[in-house]
Amino acid sequence: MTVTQPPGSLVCVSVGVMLGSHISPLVRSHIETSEVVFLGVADSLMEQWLMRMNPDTRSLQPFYREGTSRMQTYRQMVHAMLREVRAGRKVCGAFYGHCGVFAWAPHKAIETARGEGFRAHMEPGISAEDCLYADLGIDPGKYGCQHFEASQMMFYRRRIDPSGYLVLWQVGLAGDQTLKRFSTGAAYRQVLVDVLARDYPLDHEVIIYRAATLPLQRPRIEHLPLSQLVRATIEVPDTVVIPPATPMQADPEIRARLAALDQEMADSI
Amino acid sequence: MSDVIGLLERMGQDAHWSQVLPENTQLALSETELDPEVQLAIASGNQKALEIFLGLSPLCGMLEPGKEDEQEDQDPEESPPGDDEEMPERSLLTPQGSAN
Repeated sequence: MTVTQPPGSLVCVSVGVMLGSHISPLVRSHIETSEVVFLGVADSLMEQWLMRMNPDTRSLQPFYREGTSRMQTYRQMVHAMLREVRAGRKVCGAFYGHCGVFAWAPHKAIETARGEGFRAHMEPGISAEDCLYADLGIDPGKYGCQHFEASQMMFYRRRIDPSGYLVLWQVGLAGDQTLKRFSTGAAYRQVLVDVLARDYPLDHEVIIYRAATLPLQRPRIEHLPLSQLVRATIEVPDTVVIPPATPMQADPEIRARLAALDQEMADSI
Repeated sequence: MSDVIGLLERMGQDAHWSQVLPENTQLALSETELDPEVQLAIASGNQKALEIFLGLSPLCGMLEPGKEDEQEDQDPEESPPGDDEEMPERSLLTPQGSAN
């Protein structure tokens, strides 16, 4: 028996961080050949650039409203995309950076479309995290690297490993429980610093980072002691990177078990 | 008005521009037909100045999820505008980028 799929489809694509530089040929093709393209990007120059690629592009920007829960906004974005998919159209959602990283709406839209029997998938791209490794010269494999959304790390007792890198996203919004604001201030960031001070000395050097989005723009790379995070200018696009503060601790028990296995293997040959 | 967006796209795809020293960028841009103010904005990566020149509004780009319990407690179909509701015309938010 042949199962027929409904005609509508959805692809969520990642256009990267820097205008012109990071978009892949495949992502560009999806944007150019879809019947309708929804744009979820962080700056108007990039939006203008993408609008040139398809005659039916629609910005998701108007859904953002001060005082409206961000989750409500994201649900409206999903609904707008799904409405066109259900109408049988070939739909593309183009999002900046990597559309599956710190982005709720693309994942939810794909999940919902698939649940209704439509074809739906995601195309990866270059994220701010990728730019961070390049610009700061960090290899996450060297000591390990934890990533947390700053507010989530404050709301829950996470297990931070100070012998690896810690990357905190959305620090400009740290501690916001309302989901209706687009920045929090020094008092909220003081709470964040107090949380971090459980694992790091206050004079430990941290880095404020922001990826470049235009060809000649330089990334923001600012080194400062942890204690000065409270008064620093930090906006939503800024990320805080905390380098390791302690050496990795050896685990002699596990090493001994592994050595015993090695010996067992050698003896059996 | 010269094509600023087109120029930015070409610059983003050309290794030559990533190797131009900061002190030489304006000299390189002087070969374009752009206004000197725009050349300066591009050379310094001044996004706000470029947006003003092009008459564009700053955007909000947050896409991160909120609290875990708010993510799943509501069906996405329940709260959005109805099928006959048009998309609002413009956001009134201040500019914001995001993490992804």
